[in-house]
Amino acid sequence: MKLAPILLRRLIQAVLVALVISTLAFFLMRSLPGDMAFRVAAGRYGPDMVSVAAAEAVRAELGLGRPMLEALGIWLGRLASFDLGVSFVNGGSVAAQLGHELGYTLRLACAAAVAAFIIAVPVGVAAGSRPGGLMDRGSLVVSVILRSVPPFLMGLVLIIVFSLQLQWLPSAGYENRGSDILPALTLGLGLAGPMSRIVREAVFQVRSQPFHLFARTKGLGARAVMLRHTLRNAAVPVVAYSGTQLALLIEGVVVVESLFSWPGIGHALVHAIFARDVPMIQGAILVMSLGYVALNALIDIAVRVIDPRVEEPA
Amino acid sequence: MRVIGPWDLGGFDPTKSGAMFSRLQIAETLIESDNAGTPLPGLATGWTTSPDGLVWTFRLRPAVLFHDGSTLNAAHTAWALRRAMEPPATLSLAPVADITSQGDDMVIIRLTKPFAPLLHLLSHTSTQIWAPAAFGPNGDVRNVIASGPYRLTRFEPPLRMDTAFFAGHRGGPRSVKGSAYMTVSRMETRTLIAEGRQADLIYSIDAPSARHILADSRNQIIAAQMPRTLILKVNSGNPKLADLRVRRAISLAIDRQGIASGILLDPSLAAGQLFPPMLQGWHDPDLPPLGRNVEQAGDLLSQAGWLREGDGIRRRDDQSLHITLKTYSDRAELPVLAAALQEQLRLVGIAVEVQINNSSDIPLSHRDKTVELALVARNYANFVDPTISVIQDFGRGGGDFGATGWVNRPVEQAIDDLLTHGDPDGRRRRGIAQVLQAELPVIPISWYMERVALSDRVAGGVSFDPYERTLRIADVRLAGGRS
Repeated sequence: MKLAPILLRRLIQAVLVALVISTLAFFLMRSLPGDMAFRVAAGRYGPDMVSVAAAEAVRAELGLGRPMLEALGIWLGRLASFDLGVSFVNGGSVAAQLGHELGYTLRLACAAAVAAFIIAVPVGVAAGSRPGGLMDRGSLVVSVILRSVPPFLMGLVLIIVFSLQLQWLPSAGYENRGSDILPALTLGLGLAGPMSRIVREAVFQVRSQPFHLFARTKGLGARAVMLRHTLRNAAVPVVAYSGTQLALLIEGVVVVESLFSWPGIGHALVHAIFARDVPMIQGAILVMSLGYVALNALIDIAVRVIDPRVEEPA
Repeated sequence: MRVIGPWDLGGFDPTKSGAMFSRLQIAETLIESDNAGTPLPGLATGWTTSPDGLVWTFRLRPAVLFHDGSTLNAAHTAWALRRAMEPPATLSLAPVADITSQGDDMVIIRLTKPFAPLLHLLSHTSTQIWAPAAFGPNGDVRNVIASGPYRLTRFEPPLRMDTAFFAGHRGGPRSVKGSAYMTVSRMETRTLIAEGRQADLIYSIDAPSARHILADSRNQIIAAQMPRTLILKVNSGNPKLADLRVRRAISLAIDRQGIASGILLDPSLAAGQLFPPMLQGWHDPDLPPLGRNVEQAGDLLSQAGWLREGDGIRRRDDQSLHITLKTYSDRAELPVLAAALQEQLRLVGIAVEVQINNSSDIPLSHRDKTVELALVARNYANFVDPTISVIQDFGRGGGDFGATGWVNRPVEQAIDDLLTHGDPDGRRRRGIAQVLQAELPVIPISWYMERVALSDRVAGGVSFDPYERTLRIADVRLAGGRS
């Protein structure tokens, strides 16, 4: 099992992604309607204090009047030296703020992924073991609903049920006992919906293979077949598929963090876009896209570990 | 004590984003003010003005301790104020010649011409006085070290800051030993937190949410009128809106009572004039209130040459009466209000296109004169005394959140006189308010209510600063000694 080629390929991919995403983000920022200096001034001084004078002071201080290509050159040059710059709004180092926020986002994303696995694997296995059964049909309906409900609505429903009605968990924030649970569950349920169907499909496929029948015929118990053969073989497509689900996670983080006032990168990104805090936006997008590449690399490795037979195409 | 509000935390610099340090009572200014806007001693205990109004002398409060144990002195105070003069900081609005110190406890501000509202600028959060050790050698901010009853213990922008009681403050012990502030920008989330009593003070609750929260009898809401007016900013330089008859017709088409009772859920908020009753001196109780009269609005538009066509929209020559209305969603009620205005204006034959964007688009479209109508929530007491906002909005060239393309010499003269001589008998302010009512360079729609939801742990002492400078946490009393 050679990991070096995988990592090398992903590293090259990471550099290309950084370059393309940064340039794209730069042009998207410039093409947004409205005057950047006014937006930055609103973020900095508050909406009541925005004035032409404040905007002009911001424009002069930040050099927003520079030609576009010159500004792009400066940004890419800084990126090459791993300098993400300072926030337009609060003057703090972007790298330090993103580092802080990344920790919270990873915490939330891991909790969501764990929640998704805990829900999806048993449901999918049960459904795949008896295709067409009550569990299979029931979980299909539920998974379609979970995938279709927008995270914002899902979050509100969970808050109303678990925080207001039952008073078990806090509605927002990040420091109280249990404050991770609702945001993680909001994201996790969205992921669990489609994931349970993949598990179901994989289990169904494995169970219809000759080796599965052979294992049963040679006298292995149902439990041993499940643990030794079904789960391991079914895990390959499930793990590979979770890579594509990460995109869903990144998208969900933006909404869920805002709703729950969770201090992660998604929240910071929304915040920075409103205030046209360009260095923060670029930094956040960069970290998110590199995170996507890194997680995909991890999944490549995981797939290799589970199924060492998979070889690189020549 | 847990405090929730919609205000984002910015940076460290008091001249740029000092507001939160004032709200949580970490930092203080030379001057404070009461609810009526009367200047009170803050870090300065007294002040005198030279007869020509050009030299102001402030005597500093003795033995004021900063959070690092250092003491307030005049030389550093003068330096901090000079630092707060850099545009666009507030002090740059005054015609300051220089700021110097004399001895240990006197600060002298010299002006190039008289400026009556100077005291109010010195109560603005951008003129906070922080300790010398807060600054680096180039005047850059290193730490938050100020002199308020609470000191900063944690700062994680844009969401979180904590404070703890500072025993060296002159005020003595307080019931609240510290606060944990968290920014929650979504109204839905703030409401849910309030409903679940998961924080002690939850600021900026709109009227429908307040109803929800009060459904549980353990919750309390405290409301107060604020010196803010929801207005339609009008571009009087626009060919369609230059005619006073059109502006009056728009004003007559608006159902202020309906908006106040249907959307803001409080009929007393209907704005019969620009300045709300709490702005004494500017509010004129004798002024006939603006009201609704659809028929008269139609007549005025017809007189101005705008006649109804088959589709109900008025036309003049080849042009139809289409107007764009810009607003923003920072305040939850604005988009709803814009939709109501759209319908009310349609009934008199004006087609309104609503554009919802960021609040900063309004100053921008003021500058390039593309604005037609804009619905904004204007705070007339940003600087406590509305005079400064009135200068900004209705002085020469109009204002970002005030008049556009409107020129009125008598008002300009009255503003100049007000700045130089003040207004002992209130005549100048009443005169300006009357002109604004007759000419409608901005069309008032409703006044404004601010609400805070309290948990059952709060025993009392909660009050609003109408100037939004401080949350007055030091005055709050908690039940059961909890902090």
